[in-house]
Amino acid sequence: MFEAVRNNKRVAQVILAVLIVPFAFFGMDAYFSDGPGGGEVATVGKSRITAAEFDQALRTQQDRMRDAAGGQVDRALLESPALRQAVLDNLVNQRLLALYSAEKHFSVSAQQLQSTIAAVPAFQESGKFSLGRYDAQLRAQGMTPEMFESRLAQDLRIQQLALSVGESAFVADGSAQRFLAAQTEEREIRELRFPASRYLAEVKLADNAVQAYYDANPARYERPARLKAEYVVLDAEAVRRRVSVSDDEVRAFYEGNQSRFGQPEERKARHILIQVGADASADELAQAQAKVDALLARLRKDPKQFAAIAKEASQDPGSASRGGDLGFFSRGAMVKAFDDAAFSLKKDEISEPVRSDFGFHIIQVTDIKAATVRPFAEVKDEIVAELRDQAASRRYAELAEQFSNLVYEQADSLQPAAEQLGLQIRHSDWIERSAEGLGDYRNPRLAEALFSDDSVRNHRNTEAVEAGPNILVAARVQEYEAARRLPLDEVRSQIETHLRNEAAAARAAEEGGKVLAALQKGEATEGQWSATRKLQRAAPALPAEAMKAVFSASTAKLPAYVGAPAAEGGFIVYSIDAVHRPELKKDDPNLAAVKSQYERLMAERDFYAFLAELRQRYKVETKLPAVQQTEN
Amino acid sequence: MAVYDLEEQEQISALKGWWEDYGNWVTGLIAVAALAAVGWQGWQWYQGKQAGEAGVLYFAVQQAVEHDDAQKARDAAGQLIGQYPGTTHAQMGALLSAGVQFHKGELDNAKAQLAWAAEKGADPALRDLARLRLATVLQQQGALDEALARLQPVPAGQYKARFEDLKGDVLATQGKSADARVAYQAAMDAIGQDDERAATLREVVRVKLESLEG
Repeated sequence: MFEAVRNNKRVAQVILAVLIVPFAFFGMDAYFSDGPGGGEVATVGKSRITAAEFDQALRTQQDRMRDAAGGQVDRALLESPALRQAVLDNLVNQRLLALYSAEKHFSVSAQQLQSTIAAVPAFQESGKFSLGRYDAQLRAQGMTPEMFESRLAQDLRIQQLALSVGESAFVADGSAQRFLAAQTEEREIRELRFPASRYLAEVKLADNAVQAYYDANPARYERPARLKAEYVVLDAEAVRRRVSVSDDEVRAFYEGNQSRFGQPEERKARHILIQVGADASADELAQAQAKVDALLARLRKDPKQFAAIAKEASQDPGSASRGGDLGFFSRGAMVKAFDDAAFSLKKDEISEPVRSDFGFHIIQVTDIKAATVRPFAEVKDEIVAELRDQAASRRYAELAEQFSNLVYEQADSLQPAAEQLGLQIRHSDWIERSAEGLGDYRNPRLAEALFSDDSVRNHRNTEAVEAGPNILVAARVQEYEAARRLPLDEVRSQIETHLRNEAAAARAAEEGGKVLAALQKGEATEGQWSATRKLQRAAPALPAEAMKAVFSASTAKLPAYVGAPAAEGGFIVYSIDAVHRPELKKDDPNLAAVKSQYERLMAERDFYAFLAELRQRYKVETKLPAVQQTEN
Repeated sequence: MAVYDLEEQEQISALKGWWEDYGNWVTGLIAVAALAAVGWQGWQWYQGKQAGEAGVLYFAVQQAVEHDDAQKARDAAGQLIGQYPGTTHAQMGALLSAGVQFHKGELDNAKAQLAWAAEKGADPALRDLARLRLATVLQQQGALDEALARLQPVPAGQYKARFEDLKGDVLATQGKSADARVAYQAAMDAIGQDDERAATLREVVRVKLESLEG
C-alpha cells in the first residue's frame, strides 16, 4: 500500500484532495446526509427535523382539520403559511421537550406504562383491560406493541413536564379579584358631540382637490374586469333525457315485478292438528294416524261440525279455541306441506290428513281473496321513470367523460358538446373574478377558470368543472371588459362628497380638540351635554376607540375629559363624572369561574415560557420551505 | 519479509528511539483517556439510575395529584427531594405537589416545597418558576412584603412578564398605585405586541393597569 503511494504520488495527491475537500468545508456530516442543509426544515440543538417529518405532520394536521370541518375546508387555509408555521412550531416544541427529557434522563417505569395502557377505554372490554383488544387496536393502526409503547413512553415523559410546569399553576385570590373588579368597573359619562355635518357648510374645497384625489387614488375608482359567459350544464336531468326506455323493457319489468304492483292471492283456512313430532316412533305415528282418521270420518259425515271438532280435539293451542281458524295468509307464510295443501284446495273442501313437522293437519279453506294486480297502463309511467333513473345513473359517468372531452377537444365552441349531448347553451350576466359561480351553479373555480388567460385571451372553453354532485359545467367567455378606470366626470360628485365629509370630520376633530383642551385646563365651555350614561369596562357600548379612551383615562381627578372620533363621523368629548369600583365579596359567584380561567391562562403562559427558555437553550434554527405552488 | 532493506531498518530504529523517549507518555495518555471514558460512562449510568428511581417517585406524586390527595403528594415529593435532590424530577415533583397543596389550602406545605425548588433545585428556569409560585403563595397568605422580596430580582428570560404582572398585583393591593403602574407597564413591554398567543395575557394586564386608582 505504502509502496503504491510512493510510486504514484500524483494519483494519491488527487485522491487525498478529493477526500479532504468535503471534510474541510462541510465536516463529516456531508458524507451521511444529502449535503449541507439538504432535506431539513429545522435544527434543534444537534438534532434535525427533516422535510419528510414536516410533510407528514402537515398532512396529519390538514386531515384533522378536514375531518373536523366535515370535509369543507378552504384550501387557502390548508396551505396557508400560518398553518405551516404552526405545524413547524409544534414539531420544534416536541423536539425540545424530547431533548430536555432525554438530557435529564427522564424515564417511564414499566409499571407506569402498564397502568396507563390499562386505563385507555379503547383497550378495555366490559371495563377491564383486554390483551386481545389491545393487539387488535394496534394492528388496526399498523403499529406493533413495541412501537406504540415507545411512542407512549415519549408522550408520558413530555406529560410529566406539562403537568409540573404548566398544569400545576395556581393563582392567588387577590389577582383574580383584581381582574374581575377591573372588568366590572363602571364609569358614568356624558357626551358632547361635534357632528361632522355641522361643519359641512364651511368646507371649501380647493379647485384642483378632486382632480388631485382622483390622481392619487387610481385603484379606488377602477371597475374590475368583468365578463359575460355562455355555459352548458351536464346534470342528471340532461342525462335522463338522453336515455330511452323501450316498451318491451317496461313490459318485461312489469311482468318480472308483479309483486310490486299488486296484492298476491290470500287464503283463509282453519285446521285441526294432532301433534306428532318429526322424530316420533312408528307406534306414536300409528296412534296419531288413527286419531286423525277418526276425526276425518266424523267431519266427512258432517262438515258443519269443523269448528266444534277443532275446539274439542285440535292440539294447536293457538287456534283450537277459535274453531281452528288461522285467518288470511299469503303463499309462503306457513310450513311447506301445509302451504301446498292450503293453496291447492277448493273453497270449503276438507283435505286429507297432511303431515308436517308439527303433526297431522286436517285443513279446510274457508275463503279466497284472489290476487289483484294494478293494470299495466296505470303503472307504466312509474316504471318508465324508474328505468330512466337507473339507466341515467349508469350512463352518467360515460357521458361526463364524453362531455369533458368534447369541451376540451373542440375548445373554440360549446356548440358541439351542446348538440351531441342535447344540452342547452345558457348565458350569464356580467360577473367579476370574485363571483361565486355561474347562475345557479356555485363553484368559485368557474369564475377563476373563466378569468384565466387561456379563457380570456385564447378564447378557449374552460374545463368541465364540478358544481355539485353529478353536475358538470363548462363555460366560455362571450364578452370581456378589462379593468377600467372610471372617467373623472363619472365619479366627480362621489369624490367631492368624500372630500367634503373628510374635511368636515377634520374640522369637527379640531373644534372638539379645542374644547377638550379647555375642559382639561378647567375652563368653562359652552355646548349641549347629553344625559348621563353608565358604562362597564367588560361590556363595550361605544366604539372600541371610545371605550379605550374612557376606560384608560386617569380618574385621579373627576370629572376627567377624553375625546374620540365618532362612528358616524365627527368627534365626541366625553366627561367622566364618576367611577364605581365594585366591592367583590369572597364568595362572589363569578369569582370562582374567573379564577379558574385565570389559572388556566397562567398555566398555559408558564408552559409556553418554559418552552421559550428551552428554545434559547438548545438553539433552534428553522428554515421553512416555501409553499409549493400547486397547479390550477 | 525476512530481510529488511536499509531504508526500512533505519525507519524501524528511528521508531524504537521515539518510543523510548515518549512511550511512557503515550501509555499514560491512553490510560487517562480510558479512565475518563469509563468514568463518563459510569457517571451517565449513575445519573440514569438516579433519574429512573426519581421517576418512580415522581409518578407517585403524579398519581396522588390525580386523586387530589395533598397528603400523599406532599409525602412523595418530600421523599423525592430528600433522596434525589440533584434530579430535575425532584424540582418538578415540588412544583407539582405545591399545586395541589395550594388548592387544598395547605399553604405552608406549598411554601416549604417551593422554597426548596426555588433555592436548591437543579434547573435555573424551573427555579424561577418555583420562585414565582412561591411569591403567589405568600400573596395568598397576605405576606405582601415577603412576596415582593421573592419577586426580586426579576429574571431576564421568558418569565419576566409573569413576574412583573404579579408584582403589579401585590403593589396594587398595598395601595402603591404608581409602583404598580410601573410593574404592569413593564409586564406589557415584556409581552410585546407580536406574539398572538400572549394576546390574552396582554389584555388581562392592560385591564388591570387601566383600572388602577389614581
